[in-house]
Order: sequence, then C-alpha cells, then structure tokens
Amino acid sequence: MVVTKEEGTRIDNQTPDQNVLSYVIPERLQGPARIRFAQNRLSEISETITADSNIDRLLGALELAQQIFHMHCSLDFNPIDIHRGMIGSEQIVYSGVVSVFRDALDSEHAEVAYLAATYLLSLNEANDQLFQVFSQPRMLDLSQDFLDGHTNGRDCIATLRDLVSQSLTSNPQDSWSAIRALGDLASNSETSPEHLISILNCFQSILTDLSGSEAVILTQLQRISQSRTQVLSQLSSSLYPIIDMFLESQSPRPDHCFLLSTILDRMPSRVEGRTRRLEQLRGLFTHPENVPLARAHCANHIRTFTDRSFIAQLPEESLYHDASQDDLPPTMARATERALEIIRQCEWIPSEIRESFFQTPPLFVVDNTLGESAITGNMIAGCHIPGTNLIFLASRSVEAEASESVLLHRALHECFHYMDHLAGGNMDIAAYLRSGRNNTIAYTAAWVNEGLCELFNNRGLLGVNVLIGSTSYPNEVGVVLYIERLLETSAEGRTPSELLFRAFLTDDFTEVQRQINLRLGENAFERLMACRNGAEAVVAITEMMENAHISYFNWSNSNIVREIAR
Amino acid sequence: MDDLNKILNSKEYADAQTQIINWKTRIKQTKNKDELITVRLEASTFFSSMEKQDPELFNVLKINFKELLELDHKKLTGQNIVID
Repeated sequence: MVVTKEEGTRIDNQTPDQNVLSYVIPERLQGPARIRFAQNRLSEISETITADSNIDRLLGALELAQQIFHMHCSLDFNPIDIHRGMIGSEQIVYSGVVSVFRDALDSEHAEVAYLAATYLLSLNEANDQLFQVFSQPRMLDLSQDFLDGHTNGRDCIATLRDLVSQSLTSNPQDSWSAIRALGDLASNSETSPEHLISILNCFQSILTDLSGSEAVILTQLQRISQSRTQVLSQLSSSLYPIIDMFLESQSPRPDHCFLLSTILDRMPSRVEGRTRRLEQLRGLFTHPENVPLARAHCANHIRTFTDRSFIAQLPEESLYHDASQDDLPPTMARATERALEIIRQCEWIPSEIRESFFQTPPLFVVDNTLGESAITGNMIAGCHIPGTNLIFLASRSVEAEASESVLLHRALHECFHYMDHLAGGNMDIAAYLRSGRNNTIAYTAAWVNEGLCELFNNRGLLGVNVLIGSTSYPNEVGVVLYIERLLETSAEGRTPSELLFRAFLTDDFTEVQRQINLRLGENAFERLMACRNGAEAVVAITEMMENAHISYFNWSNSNIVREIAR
Repeated sequence: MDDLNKILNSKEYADAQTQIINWKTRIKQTKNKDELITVRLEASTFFSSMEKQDPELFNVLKINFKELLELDHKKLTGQNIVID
C-alpha cells in the first residue's frame, strides 16, 4: 500500500529487502486531533512490531513517539506502552527512549522523563548512560525549577530516589549507578545546599535499604566533602546521622572509618559534634587490632584511586602485606583461599616466583566502585592493578555466579596476572625479542598474554582435579596450545611448557620465536604477533602449519580442556 | 575453523574492527576527560549489544574490547590496569 504523505496515512515502501515504514503527521491536523492521529498510529505499530521487525520499522515508530513527545501534549503517555512489543530489539528501543528522555528534560516534562527513565531502568545496560544524563546541567536547572515551585513536576532528587528504590528491587547492583549519579549531582558546585541535603537524606535511606552500598556511598560523600567544602557546615544535620550509622554498627570497617574521618576533617572545626565524632572514629581507626588491616586497605585504596601522596605517610611494607579475606563473601573467600592453595601446589611454577608471590599475597577486593573510574557494563568480571597486589572481582559477578568453581577459576586467572606482574611482566608489551642488550623488538598483542594466563590457570585447576566448565579466551588459549605443541625442549633442558611459562612471566619470547620460525618458516612468529586477536592468530597459525605440512588435526580447539590436561 | 574464517571475513567483523580503530584513535588523540568517558560508553554499549546479538563475534572480539577499556582507563587515570 502506498499512500501519499499529504493524506497523513501509512507509507509502505515494500521492497524485498526493506520494509520501510514511516509516518508523517499531517500539518492540517492540530490540537487533540493531531495527538489522536499520532497515538493511533503508534498504537498500530505497537501491535504489529515484534522483536524480529525490521530496524527501520522500529526507528519509524520511535520517530513517531518522539514527535508525540515533542508536541508537549502527552504527559500521561507511558513509554512502556509505546514500546510494547519491541522488547528484543533493546538497543534500538533504548536509543529512542534516551532521546525521548532527553527531550522531556529539555522541555521540562518531568513526568515523561520519569516514565522514560523508569522504562530505561527495566532494560539491561541502560543505566550507566541514563545516569550520565541525570548529572547534566539541564537536570540541575530542572530540579531548581521544581524546588522553586514553577512547575508541577517531580523534584528530580525525589525522582532519582524513586529510581534508586526501584532498582533496589529489580536489580540491586544497578542502584550503584544511581548512587554515583547522585554523587555527581551533589559534587556540582551549582547544586544548592537544599538539594545536597535531599541527596544526603537519600544516601541515608539507601544505606538502610541496600546492604553492601557502604563503600560506594562513602566514596560519594568523600567527593562531596572535597568539592563542597564551603557548604559542609550547613550539612551537618544530614551528614551526622550517616556517620552515626557507621559508628553505631557492631564492627565498622577500618577503611570506612578512615573515609569518614577524612570527610569530618574537612568540616569547619566550629561545627558542633564534629570533634567528638572525629575522636571516636580515629579511636576505631587506630585501635591496635585494626591498624594493620586499616593501613593495608587504606593504602591500597588511596594508592590506587585517589590521593597518592598519602602513600608517603605509610610504611612501605604495609602496601603489600596484611591482606585479609575477612571482608569477602563466604563463597569468594573459599575460592580465593583455594586459588592460593593451588598456586602453593603448582610445582611447575618456579619456587622463587611462588616465594615472591606469597611474600606479598594478593589482596582480593569484591567491589564495584572500581567501575566508577574505569569500567562500564556487566562484561567485566575482574581485574588486577599492576603496581599493587590488588585483585578486584566485580561484585555483580560474585553475586550472580555464586558457584565456587567459577569464582575459583576467575580468582586464579587474576592471580596469574599478578604473578606475571611480580616476575616483571609488562602489560604494555605482550612479547619482546632480545637479540642483543640494546636491540629488542616489542610486540603489543594482548591475546598472547591472556591466552597464556588462561592456559596456566586451566592447567593449575586441572592439576588439582577441578573440572573446568568453560575456558575464557578460547581462541587465545587455542593458539598458545598450538605454539606449545610446536615447541621442543630447549638446549637448557626446558620443556615446551616451561619455555612458555617463562615467556609468560618475563615477556621474553626470544626462544619461542626462534623455534616457531624454525618450524613454520621465516617471520612466522612475527606474523602471529601482528594478529589483532586469538581468532586471527588461530587462522594464521593453522594456515602456516598446513603450509609446513604439520598435521594438527588431533590438536583440535574444540578439545581444548583435554589438551590442557595432558 | 570454517566458522572462524566466516566470522573473520564477515562485514560485521570488518565494521567492528573499523570502529575499534576509530575508538583507539580518539582515545590516543584526545585529552578531554568527557571524550574518554564517551568513548568508553560507546564501546561498552556496542559490545554489550554484540554480546547479546552475536555472541560468537563477541567471543572473537572480547579481547579487543578489553584492550580498548585498558587503553581508555590508562589515558583517563594514568594508571595501568589488567581487565578480564
């Protein structure tokens, strides 16, 4: 069916590959008739669109939805209805609703903004971007208008608080994004003290409702105390109840106490109640039983994320010692203990490396605040911070995957990264070749490092009969397994596995390169290093093996776990 | 191997690699914190969507995403990080 745009009805350009659907609201329709027209068309789309619909069709619907919002006449229009039937094409819907959300903010339609935000919260991965929007200046302007009573909309702080409450029930981890958004808002110098008080009250209610939110909230309070020093004295009535919640808890964590004391330190000394609380906090912080742990926590935290100068005040040995498993969830505590035990038992790890590792064992921290500065999304499971013994494990993954073996797999993988770091591995260089003291060639190929790390992780697990459910970086592990199969015992008597492990720890692939180029031809190793990922490297190495008439049929990638076990 | 070759020769793979190069260039060239955060968000949204819609392609490119995040983090904070 093709009808002219002037008629104001549907236009289908039906071609075999493209079912473009666009809607144009006729100019002659005005007021309620215009709204009715748009809503009827949207309703029509909602009923016919499915997850498999053509993208252009979805975009057409979203465009129409945006037109409705642009008309500023649909405050009772629920975005959830608009996008009913579109679930499954979340990305498209998400982009469209974000536009709707931004438009609603621009046009000060708080109800629409709230509805759009509510819808976005129901989508995965939407939250980080959503809350970026929340902290933008126009949101502040909007909230100021609300507080001044110029509009009938919701106070944006209340909206955020509602969103936090909602995410608490639907997806607790997402509420951290909201907490950070509130922190952004509060740290902004344009946010009024009244807003700040609302935000602090909101933090207090979140602390009560959301177990595990302490570190995230304290980080935000610390930011606020740094950036809003001028108004801190006005905030004591809202800040003290939060501080008292920690002071009155059975056993406040020393790192929490430290953060609280830095917040109180910034308050003007004349503010009533400050000195008493500060002394109380410092007493806890400096309690003999707490000192070693407090130092380890605070030094690592500060060294890693904030004030590096603080490190100078601490004895060097505290940076890497006193790691404790006390703060970990029980499953993770067991998994990390077991990971360390496996490393103790791995006789193929050179004794001097193991000794160095256990002199400064890793400090495992389950904390999503890491994402605050570094990482977005749910795809990150853990990380190691070179220069420290810190291993972070994302709390989202810890809670979602409570299986001890999965957590063990993850923790041990990070332990090998830490071991690599201790042995002098450089993450900026995946491999280098040494052909003279001043003549080295460095390759940046992260896949080599990850492939080897995961290979030895799997080998460590299989060595103590832990079944491996899945292999991280399978292509990367596959290609390093092929490389290992191609190696021979070196002149110094090092087995292929030992050669590779040494190369993993030191980044020095000179012997590996020599042997690979001998087997596969000149520049074969260099060609592998030029690959952008394990998949490209697998294809390249198999091609080279075929050209060199090396049968690799029995080294199949699909059998990777069995291969590792050998 | 055929499956892997098919992925590596696909338009989606080529497009993703172009996109990755573009993000890396932006990270290397900018000194603007907001721009670095924007790149991180764009890349995360892109790969998050890929993980759902085309897990096999994501599996191949996961390591490139990791590299991108590490690069972005280093530029943003001056700090090295190994992300998994």
